[in-house]
Amino acid sequence: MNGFVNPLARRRVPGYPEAIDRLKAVTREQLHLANDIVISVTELSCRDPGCPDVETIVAILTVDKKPRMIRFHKRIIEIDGPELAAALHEVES
Amino acid sequence: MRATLTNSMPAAQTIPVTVLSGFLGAGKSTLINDLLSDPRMADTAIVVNEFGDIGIDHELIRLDQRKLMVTTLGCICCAAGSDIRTSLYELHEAAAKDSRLSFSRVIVETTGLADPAPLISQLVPGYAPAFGLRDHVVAHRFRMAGFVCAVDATTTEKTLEQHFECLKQIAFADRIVLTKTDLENNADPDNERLRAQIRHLNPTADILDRHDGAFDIASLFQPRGYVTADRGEEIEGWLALERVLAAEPTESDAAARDKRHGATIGNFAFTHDVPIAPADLADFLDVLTLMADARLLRLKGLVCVSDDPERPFVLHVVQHNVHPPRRLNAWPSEDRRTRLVLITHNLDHGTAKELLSTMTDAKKHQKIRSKVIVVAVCLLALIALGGVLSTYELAKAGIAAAMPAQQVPPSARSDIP
Repeated sequence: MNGFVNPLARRRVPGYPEAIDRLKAVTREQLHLANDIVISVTELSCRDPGCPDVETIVAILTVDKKPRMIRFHKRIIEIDGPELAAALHEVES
Repeated sequence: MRATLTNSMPAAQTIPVTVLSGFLGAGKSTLINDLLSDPRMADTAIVVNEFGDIGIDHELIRLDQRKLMVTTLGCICCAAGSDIRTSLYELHEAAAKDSRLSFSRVIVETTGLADPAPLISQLVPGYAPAFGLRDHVVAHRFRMAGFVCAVDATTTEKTLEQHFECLKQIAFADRIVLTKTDLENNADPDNERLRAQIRHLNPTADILDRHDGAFDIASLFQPRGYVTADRGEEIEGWLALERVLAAEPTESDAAARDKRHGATIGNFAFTHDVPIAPADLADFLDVLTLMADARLLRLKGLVCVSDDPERPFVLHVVQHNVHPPRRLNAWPSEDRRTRLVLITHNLDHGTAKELLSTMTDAKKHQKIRSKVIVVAVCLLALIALGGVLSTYELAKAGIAAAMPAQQVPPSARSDIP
């Protein structure tokens, strides 16, 4: 193995994995969800005229309950914690 | 009535289906060609899925006449119905009608933009409902037997920042094969950073290097069990969500297909009947090399060149990597036209069209260039002439200034205070 570490090497930009973890943590905290409840975060694209290009879905999937889904018309990495918290409160209220 | 797809036949009696995924230009077709040239994989049927309106990939796969291949346009992952099940059913029917076309395994090559969730939910029992006899036959005859993801060692780090599909393809895989690790422009020669990134997304998949001496294509596609529960909570969540989304009211299949990849992804098909001059192809490649960047997700195709129209060139561009064109010994089919497909990200139609036209409009560009040169030469000549005249005027003025005062005409001295 080469022990040389290139100081000029490109650093990895925090991206999707970190953003997904963050969105899940916010959802779990805001809704006081147990660890066994599945939260799924995905990003879909849409070419429908008049529809945003990208849609992120944060879904809370609980056995024997209707799934709760929050949709954002932006990429996963563009959604911040307060924005998600506000959307969760709106869905829950 | 909807029934859940189940597979009741013992695994030994069903035909294994392995999915080959990987982002645009990751080297999926090259892996398929390696596989098809291996005698151990002789009885393999192939399903090739392409994004766009013109199929190119099936032309780039070398297939002898004994082998079966089904090509689907559009995107398997986008189809609201069960396109992959239709393709498998077609293979099953073809083999049933002609025993010479029998096969013992299937490889499904997805488009580079495929989201694996809808595809896997069609293939793994318990997710997507079965529609009619066709789906039940498929469920009875075929089983999911592995998910291979090709990962381009030179571009994936950047691609992962931009394209969520790339992340999902890696996460769903049970085997990951690093490609292009032999290229000199790989900024991470030992691939340690890339491997760590893959491990973060998928802690359990085997990671193989296609250029490793021990790499064996037959082992890569060796049928095994594909259990979604083994792939992690994230995968199960995506598949569960896919089931919820699939149950939502949708528009037609075609509309759904067009919608999944977003307006930022464009695809442009180009065909040309007249052979291209070698110099024009060289000009086109020069332009490509200058402008190729992450917006040009993929360019691939066959070019008929006038110096030897029976031996086309194969072009491959992946983001900023313009691979050297390779000349084939013959056309792969009867179609002798130049055919190129571009898949772009945030690149407008006009720019893509202009890029392609550099190959065919080279003569026009040559004429324009000649006119520009003529005009430039004329301008230079005028400037030079102007310079000569100015020098002459200055010289004349200098001579006048140097003349003795008495030689200056009286009229010229009258305004001197």
